[in-house]
Amino acid sequence: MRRAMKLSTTFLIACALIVGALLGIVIGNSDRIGESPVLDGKLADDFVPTTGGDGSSSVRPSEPPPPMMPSEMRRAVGLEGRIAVLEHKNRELREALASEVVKREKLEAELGAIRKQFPDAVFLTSPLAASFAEADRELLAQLIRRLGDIPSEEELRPLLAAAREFNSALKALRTARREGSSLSIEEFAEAKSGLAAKRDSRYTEILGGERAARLTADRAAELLSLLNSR
Amino acid sequence: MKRLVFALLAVLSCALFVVPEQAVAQVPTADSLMGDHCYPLGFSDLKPGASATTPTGANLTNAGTKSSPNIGYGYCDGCGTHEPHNIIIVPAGGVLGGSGLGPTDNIVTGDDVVADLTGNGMDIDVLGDNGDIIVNGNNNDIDFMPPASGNDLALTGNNNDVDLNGTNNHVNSTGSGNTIHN
Repeated sequence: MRRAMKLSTTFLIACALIVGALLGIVIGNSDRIGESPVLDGKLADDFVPTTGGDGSSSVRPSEPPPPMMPSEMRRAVGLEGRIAVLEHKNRELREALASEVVKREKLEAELGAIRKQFPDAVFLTSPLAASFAEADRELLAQLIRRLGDIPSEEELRPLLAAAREFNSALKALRTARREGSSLSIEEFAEAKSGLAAKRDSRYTEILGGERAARLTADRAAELLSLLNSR
Repeated sequence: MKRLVFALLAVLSCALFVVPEQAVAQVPTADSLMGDHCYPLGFSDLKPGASATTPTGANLTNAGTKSSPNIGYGYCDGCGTHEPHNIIIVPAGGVLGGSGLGPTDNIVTGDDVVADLTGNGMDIDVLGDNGDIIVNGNNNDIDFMPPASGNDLALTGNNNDVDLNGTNNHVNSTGSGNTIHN
């Protein structure tokens, strides 16, 4: 009986010591909880957004603290060591991310240049183009090539309607002339000029004056103006 | 991130592959039409309703109404291997009637023009869209310059040579020996 009591007392003391030790560890480290680089905003502080000389923005890591050598990490104990390992990994990830951001910006710039140079080709490869019939796609590509940019879907449909209406009226006029109508060259030209004026007026309504002027700019007239200026 | 990079590369490649040849064609310049370093010796405007005779004897008429644009014409100095020649420019909406045209005449047409030209050995460059051009005569050289589109050319003579570039351009030939290159 006495022996049994002695054993249970020893057991209780051992338990109390273990619980005390655990509480000590928890209380002792309580001020460190929340120092995680993610939780206290260190991650955001380490990234300094900058603006380049050409106005382009990029992201670069701020001056990093001297890196901890792997042997030091191994020597580091407990939570501090784990934090050091995490910080090292974070630094590596940030550097990789910054490099990918630079690559992506470069690709986007190249893509933008291609879009600007060949807007009709970009249009033809777009999902929007698939919603138009093949003949309409070709007509729209011609308009886009002259315009130099891709109009919105709301602009594309009325533009297409105006171009189709002009083409179909011109076709009828040509057929009438071929089939021996009594139209003189002046009368034919007058009728055609009326159709073109109506079409150009629709273009202006849809696109506004500046963009419509790009669409209807005449290369022969530019050449004439150049020669007249010499 | 990798997926994004590959997607961008794929779009870039597609855009490069589908670029139509016409989109990269060079627009002719004044020098390329007249010959390098060749300058016009006088350049005149032919007002709507007016007629003129060029130094080489061709007769031109601006058959447009009052609202039509002036047609420009001039006689150009030759240089190097280039012969002296006329250059006749029909801007958008212009209406040109021409006769007695020949190898020294270079005619350039813009958008929505109407031209009825008679002569042998002319050089015609179609720059614009939706033009109606009638060529009566033989051995003329007609080039459609990309991206010219929607033009209608009628050939009533023989042995004319047509470079049919651009889109939706149509040639109606009633003569013989006319060659059309696509």
